[in-house]
Amino acid sequence: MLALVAPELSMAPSSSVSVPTGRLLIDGEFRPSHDLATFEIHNPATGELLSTAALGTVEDAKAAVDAARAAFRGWAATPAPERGEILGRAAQLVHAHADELARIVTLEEGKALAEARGEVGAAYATVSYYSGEGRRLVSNVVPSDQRDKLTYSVRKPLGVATIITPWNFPAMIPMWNLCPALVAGNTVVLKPASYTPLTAFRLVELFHEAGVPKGVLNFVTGPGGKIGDALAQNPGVNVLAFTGETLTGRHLAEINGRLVRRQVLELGGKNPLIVAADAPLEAAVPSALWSAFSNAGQKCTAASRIIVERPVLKAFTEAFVAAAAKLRVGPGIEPGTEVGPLVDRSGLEKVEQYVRYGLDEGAELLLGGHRLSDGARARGHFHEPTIFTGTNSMRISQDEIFGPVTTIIPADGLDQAVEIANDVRYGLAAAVYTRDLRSAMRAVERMEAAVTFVNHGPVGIEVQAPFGGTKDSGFGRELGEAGIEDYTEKKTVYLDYSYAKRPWYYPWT
Amino acid sequence: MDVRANAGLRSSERARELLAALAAEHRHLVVLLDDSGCCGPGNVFVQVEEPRPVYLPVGAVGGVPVYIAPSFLRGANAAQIFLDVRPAPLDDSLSLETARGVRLTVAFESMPPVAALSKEGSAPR
Repeated sequence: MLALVAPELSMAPSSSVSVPTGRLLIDGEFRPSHDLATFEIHNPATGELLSTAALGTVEDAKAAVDAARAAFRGWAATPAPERGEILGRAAQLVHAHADELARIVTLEEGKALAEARGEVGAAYATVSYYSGEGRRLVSNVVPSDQRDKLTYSVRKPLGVATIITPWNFPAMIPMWNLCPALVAGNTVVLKPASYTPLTAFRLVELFHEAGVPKGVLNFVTGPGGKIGDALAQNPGVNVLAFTGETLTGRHLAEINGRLVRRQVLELGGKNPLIVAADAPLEAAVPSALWSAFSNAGQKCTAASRIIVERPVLKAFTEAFVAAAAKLRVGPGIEPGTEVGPLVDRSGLEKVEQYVRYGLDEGAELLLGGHRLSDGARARGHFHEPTIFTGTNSMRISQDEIFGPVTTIIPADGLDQAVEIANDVRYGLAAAVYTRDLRSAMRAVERMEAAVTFVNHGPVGIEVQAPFGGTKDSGFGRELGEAGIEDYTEKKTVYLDYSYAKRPWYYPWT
Repeated sequence: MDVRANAGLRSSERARELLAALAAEHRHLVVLLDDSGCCGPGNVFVQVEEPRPVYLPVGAVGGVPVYIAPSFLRGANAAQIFLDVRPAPLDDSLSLETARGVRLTVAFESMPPVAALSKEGSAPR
């Protein structure tokens, strides 16, 4: 069961994997932090110590930005096809190490190994796609008002890109930003999430091996309150990309505004999946299951609200609950596991808190509602797939729980379903299941989401199409050509090859 | 709308001490209560900037004013809001307390019974 749409990679399965020890990469040198401090990375399924990573300092963050600034001019001057070739070599290395990377993802983040393989496939697809952009980076020519004059614009890189990524897709989301930034000629400082720095570290090692020049890609690790803040406050950063919690995104937007800096913010979601009265339930039920519970619901695109028209409410609910009850919850590395643990204890406690809110507000608990701590799950952060039925005004229907919890909300007709879908602060992804094309397109037109799906759950992003959010889900678009827009600005050139005195030049007589 | 008359704000002793210590370091601080969205378990954010005008005041803890987002309010104006602290050495939020390896948390206690709410959208937004 793949969580993402990506090329199938043929992976040579390995029975074990060597988990790296995370270091920093600054100015082409892998090294420990300024004060030699480290922090521990634990397996969320077992609590076991996996490895350590360098606990970067404010000095390290500054050194990384300084190195990126120093390398910018040379990298920007490198022909784009040459930059693309380096990404092409990185893509080959990601492909060759796909199984190793997938196992690191599962061990540090928790998701089922099949999902981790899908994620690494998506990471590979991203690197591969943007390596090709080195031979495109399309600019445009427009007609000039005058004869013998050429007017065109070219894409220029912005400078230093700081990329701060979350823990839920530790291989894929760094690539979503790193690759367009690099191929467009920017230099990069990457700071991955502190729960999951090892996957990103291994990817950075592979990019280094692929030949990314010294200083062009820098890598720092450590908690956001120190390292993330130091990077965000540094005026030497020209573009900041952040995927993560809404409150921090808003704070970063204020800093970016103060510094008049480009930004890409991908924040929360509370994504609706509408099941119309004529929906093919044999497809809608497994799709809803996958969309709600893959990666234990820890996806900003998770189907956390399933809005069902009343004529199929009973049939859908019974089939959905029965299917969810069969999901196998356990350590992601074990064969057969379909739902892994939450990434850490605080995430598990938040899920439990929201289950209480749901009950307090009168939602009906149809399935789950408890943490799992038996047998192999004794030391991990496991929670049952949980299904409520309730109203859209409840806290469980409005806040992003970021766990294996979804709410079925009845609707009287498609119009009301769309109204309910839109009655939330977020606008990331939305989906509708129906056999009627007119209904589908009416819903797509009206749903307030930046990414919409018809007859597919709101999960499953393809790298060649834009992805992002509207309303409180952020702004800016990642992936596809839009990813290049994020990391470039247009420079317009007026080229007058007439060598003539134009009529409006002085003197006018 | 001032919800202080309806929403009770309580906190643990350690939350009070933490905010008082942060307030001693910064000339002006505010606490925001809001949905943290993607990847964040805290639902609380401590910053030096003034909140957007849309935020509603609910009281103060450790001398630091606390505000809540209207969209996060639903039902909470008839409930107790409780602030606490938990260890968070790997938290990637930029909320000010995370630099100390901890994160403030919020819980809503004594949620109103469902009968107190009318149908869809009755709770304040």
